[in-house]
Amino acid sequence: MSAASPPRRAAVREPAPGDGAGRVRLRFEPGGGDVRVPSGTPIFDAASWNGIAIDSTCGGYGTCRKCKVRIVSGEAPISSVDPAAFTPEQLRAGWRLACRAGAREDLVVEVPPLQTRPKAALAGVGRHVILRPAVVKRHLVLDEPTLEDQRADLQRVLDALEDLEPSASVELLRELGGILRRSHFDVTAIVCDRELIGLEPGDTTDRRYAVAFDLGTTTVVATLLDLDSGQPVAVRSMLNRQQPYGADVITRISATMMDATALVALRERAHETLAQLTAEVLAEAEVAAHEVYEITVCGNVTMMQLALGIDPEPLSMAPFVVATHALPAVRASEFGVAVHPRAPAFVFPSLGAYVGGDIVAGMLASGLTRDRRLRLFIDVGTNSEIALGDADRVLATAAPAGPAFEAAQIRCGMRAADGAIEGVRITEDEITLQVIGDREAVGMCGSGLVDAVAELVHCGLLDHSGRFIADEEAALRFPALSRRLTRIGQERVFVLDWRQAGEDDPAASVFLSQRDVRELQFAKASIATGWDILLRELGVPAREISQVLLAGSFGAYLTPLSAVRIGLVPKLALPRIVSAGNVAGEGAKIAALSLRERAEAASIVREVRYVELSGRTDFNDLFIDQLAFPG
Amino acid sequence: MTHEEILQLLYEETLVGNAPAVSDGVNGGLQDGLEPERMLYDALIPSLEEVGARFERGDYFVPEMLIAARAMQGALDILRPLLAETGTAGVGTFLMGTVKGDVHDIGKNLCNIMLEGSGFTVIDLGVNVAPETFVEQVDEHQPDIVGFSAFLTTTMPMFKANINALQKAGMRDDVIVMVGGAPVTPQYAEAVGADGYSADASSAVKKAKELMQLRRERVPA
Repeated sequence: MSAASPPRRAAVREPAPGDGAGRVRLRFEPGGGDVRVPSGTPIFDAASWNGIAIDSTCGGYGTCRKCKVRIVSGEAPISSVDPAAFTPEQLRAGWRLACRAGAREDLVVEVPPLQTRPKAALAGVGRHVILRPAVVKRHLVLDEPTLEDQRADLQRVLDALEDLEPSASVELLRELGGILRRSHFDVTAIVCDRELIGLEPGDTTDRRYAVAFDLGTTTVVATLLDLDSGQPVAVRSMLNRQQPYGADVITRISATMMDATALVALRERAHETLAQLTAEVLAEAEVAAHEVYEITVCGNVTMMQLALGIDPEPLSMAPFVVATHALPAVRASEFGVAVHPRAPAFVFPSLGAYVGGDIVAGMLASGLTRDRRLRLFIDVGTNSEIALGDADRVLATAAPAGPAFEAAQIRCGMRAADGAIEGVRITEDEITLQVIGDREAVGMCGSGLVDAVAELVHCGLLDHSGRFIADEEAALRFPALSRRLTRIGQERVFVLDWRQAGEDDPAASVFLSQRDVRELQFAKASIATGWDILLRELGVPAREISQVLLAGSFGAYLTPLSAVRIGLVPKLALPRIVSAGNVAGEGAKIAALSLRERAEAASIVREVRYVELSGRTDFNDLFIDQLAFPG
Repeated sequence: MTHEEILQLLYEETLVGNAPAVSDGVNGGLQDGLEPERMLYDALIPSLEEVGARFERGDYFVPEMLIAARAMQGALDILRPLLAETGTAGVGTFLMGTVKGDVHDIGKNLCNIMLEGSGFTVIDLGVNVAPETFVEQVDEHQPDIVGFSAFLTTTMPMFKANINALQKAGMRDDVIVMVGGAPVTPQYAEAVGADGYSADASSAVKKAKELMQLRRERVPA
């Protein structure tokens, strides 16, 4: 059916260049290359998003006047701060402050050599991120008050932080005077995203940390980052302690619907998980809790709402409404972690109930919205998120793949733990298993399931409809393997490992059943229908996809060959299919390292169009087409 | 071809979903004087039951089930008017819908196809159907059975809401309530006060017929 109907015209607006709604092209000289950004983007941000360093100390607030660039070709209006920074001749020659100059047409921009060498870190999918953390530390040696200088304590500090223009809280005031006097007014001020969150005695500017959390339904990862070097100094992961309330988000939500106390309990368990990981990374790196001045968090919408104690029920049923896309200012303490008491939490915004902050973080880390190549991003899981696009437009959707990839409803399925078959190779007369921990197989995990099915389809023991071939045909074509194709009760199974029981007892073996194959077919068809519909919406054929990024803790373990063979991804040359790893976690790290990148997350939410699959009239037909394995 | 051979052909071609061969077989049978009832009960319905059994053990999958059902429907289109004449048609009327808040319908649609194939008149209300709508439609169509489908543990509670709505409208005793969907269990079905539950499309047909039979026995004609 999909082959018969012509691809629909792209429903996306294609605005003329420079009309204020579309995108403009910037070229940075010398040698910075081309970038495309939404019209109106400050030149400073455009450069930063693309790893091009421009001098700045204030972080782009127009106060330090260091981000001087020259417009070589094209026009950028003179901003209100420009006349104070440049002479009229310089302005005529095209000099502007990059942080205030919005790019509204195609521009060529000359970037002067850097005065201060910026630090950068590699993060995400080969992204070069310029360090500009939200957390800023300043060592201040202040004049002690006298009868002639009775400035308020807070004012004295704020005067020394003029360029940062921070705000302060009453909690800070409770300790401000004490710290100033104990340290004889020699202090280090900590400013995080325009709030003065604390003062420390003496010069502590060399110690500045943040924790980036990937709060997954199954696994939670914490990375302690040294904000000076941009490097991770400790990483820990553990299972989400909400597990007893169900493996997937729907089960956890239904727990809150059946028991009024469950929401509180789930919140506490999220907090316990995050707190334990925090304690572990701090201990490992010998960093004090109060030296962590910010946390960043990404996770699906259900995980976020549960962690913050927001009723998740509306997420779980049509019309699938989120409490908020972007959260108001939240402190780290709202997530139950013991760090600096006034450390803020940056939480990734979400696109929809099932395209959450984790995927926005993944899109950020993979540079999906900034890359000129057409790329397909798939986070494979119980709920799979799919995004397709390039620097001009990106579409995203969510496909309910069910638990097959976690091997939950698979007869011999298990988690990716010791004894799990994670890889399978089948030739005409031999079967080779890769077992985690190099021990006897006890079951198979998701990647083993995908491999087994892909290999069986490839060798021909499974036909393209997903049915095991007839016994007689198997005996004829695969004499060495045909004994493995047998039955348990009525159901046909293929034995992967006979184990000690030997060939008389298939029920005691590790096997792949006919129904397991069907489970996987449902899961992969759901994902394939997702990208198929996105391709149709964009009006482009699959062969134009330059790169497929397989993300998520499961996607990273899939072999590209098997992913192609079962039709989980479009049929493309294998080098185009890349395991991207835990890109959500990378996104959380990037957000801690760069305010500019963080702004990009917000623009992803504005620019990416969410495509709802539920209720589409063409979904069922396309889904049924995708159930078969590609020929 | 003997009548036996025609019945055998109908059984086998329905099983593999060869719609033209099934239609031709039915027409040929009619010309040959084969009774519509025999074709329905001795070939087509047993064939669809075998489709269901194969689906249950994974040998058949959704596409095979759909093409078999399509072949079956082609045959029914020819037979239905004839069966109506003899009064055989109409095992019963089945009103079906996915509950409010839920938009999943592949499993429900499979049930519809199997039910239709087995002689039920199916009225499908679609997805995201509110309790009020179920009440309205039960009132309008007076079905023998109303079926509620839910795919999520979070939408299953709507079974109870629907049954309560029927009760409030004083219609609960006039209609058999069946529930189903991936997360539903027989225990859950009983707890919410449904009359029947089935795990998949083919057992839904068996259960529906069984419940109709029970009701007929209980209610004196």
